[in-house]
Amino acid sequence: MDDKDLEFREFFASQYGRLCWLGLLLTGNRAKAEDLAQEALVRTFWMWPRVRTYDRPEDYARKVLVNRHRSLLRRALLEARHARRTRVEEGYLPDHGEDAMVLWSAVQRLSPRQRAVLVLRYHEDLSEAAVARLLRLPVGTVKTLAHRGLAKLRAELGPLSQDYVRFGKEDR
Amino acid sequence: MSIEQQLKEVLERPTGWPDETGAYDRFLRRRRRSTRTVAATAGLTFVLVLGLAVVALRVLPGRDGPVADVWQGRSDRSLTGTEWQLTKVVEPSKTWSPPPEVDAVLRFDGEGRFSATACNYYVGPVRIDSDVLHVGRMAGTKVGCSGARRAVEEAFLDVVGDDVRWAISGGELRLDKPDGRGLRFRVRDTIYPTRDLQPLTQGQRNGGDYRFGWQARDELISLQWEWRDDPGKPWESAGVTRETTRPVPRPDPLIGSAGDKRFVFGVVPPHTARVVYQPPAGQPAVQLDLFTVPGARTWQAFGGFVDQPRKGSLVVAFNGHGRELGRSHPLVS
Repeated sequence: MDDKDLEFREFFASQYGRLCWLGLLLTGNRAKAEDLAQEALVRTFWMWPRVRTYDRPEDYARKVLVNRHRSLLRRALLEARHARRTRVEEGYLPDHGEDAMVLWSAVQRLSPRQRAVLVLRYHEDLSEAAVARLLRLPVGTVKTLAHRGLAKLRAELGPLSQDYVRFGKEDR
Repeated sequence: MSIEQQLKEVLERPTGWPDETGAYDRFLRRRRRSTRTVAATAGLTFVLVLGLAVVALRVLPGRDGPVADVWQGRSDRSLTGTEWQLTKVVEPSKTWSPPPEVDAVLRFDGEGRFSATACNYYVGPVRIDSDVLHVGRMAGTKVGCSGARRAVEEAFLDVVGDDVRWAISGGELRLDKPDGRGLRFRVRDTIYPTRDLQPLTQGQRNGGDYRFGWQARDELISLQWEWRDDPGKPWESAGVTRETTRPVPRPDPLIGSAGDKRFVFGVVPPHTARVVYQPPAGQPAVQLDLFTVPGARTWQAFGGFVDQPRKGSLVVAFNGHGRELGRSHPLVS
């Protein structure tokens, strides 16, 4: 194994879990998440001589994963719909409280674009402009998707969330 | 706690998730298989698509043993992302080289697609195995070709329009059919598609490569924008040709792809000191760059990156005193 392979292996070790999780957030399905992460890392590997010179090679892998997810959604709408229908049953559920489970399930029921925007905004901490670049959407569309996604979450969470918002978690 | 904060918490990765046992081995197997599904479609905007040529997939008969003294497949990092230029056509009875004016290029994007320019432009899916390229149904333009261009294209399609054995040796890419036909490529000396374009600005943006430049032909000068998303992806380009002595009626811009952005470019009067791209109300204006093009006596070039242009956007040219020298027609779509 040469130095570059070792270097890539380290990169793999540092990024695999993160990419799998991002894949899970985007798809709601463990198998699909791992597939996306593996594919993103294979493609990153092919471009490694160039990618390793980037300031943040992990951003490239993330870009590949998000592009791949977007591409699969676009090209296989039926499959995506099926995945959406089966997502909650197949997927991960957080085990840290009922509120978290309710919110997680609500996130799974968002449209793929709304979910992708919220995941990239609030999990990956990207700006609206960065999300727009990654998803190749106008910034205005990203803002709308985020706004509607959050509104849908609030609506799905119902009074629970309203109380939560009004009084704060510590007061409940 | 706001819904945003709640969301951040619930989206956090739990410690120890996922179980990574065997993940790297699965990665190695996947890498070896190099089974890459077809990704997004891409095209060249300057190519006039007249029709699609569909070439049926045929099965390549077996061949004994690997090519000797040749470094093969596994690390196709050199194969993908490289602009490969055709240098030789190998036929059973002779080997010949394309004339210098025929710039036939082959590239693999590492995401399951290849593209090629011979006389026409072709794009299609490809699966890269350790020593065989499995070329799927390819589509292409159908511009009539003659002379050397036609000969090169025919030779190219004979070899690439099917499964073909590949190897890289000493920087040379070899594609070989069992019947003795083959192609030889070298790494092209420039990544950019237009050879004699004089750059005004070039570089990288969000992982993509770009170049904006000019080309003189008699009393005409062409301005050209070139962009590709990643190495191995097809180049997209857009261009305009101006007479060197003709005044600029309006600074109507052209718009070239640039990933999530667009590159707006065109020509403005020679005394222009500032060019502004003005989106519809409520959005900030963008100052574009000015470029002097040698030989252009009645205009200078401008260009710059902007967000996806919206209906009603304008380009406005000002002189050094802030007086407006001209404005483009509003963008209609």
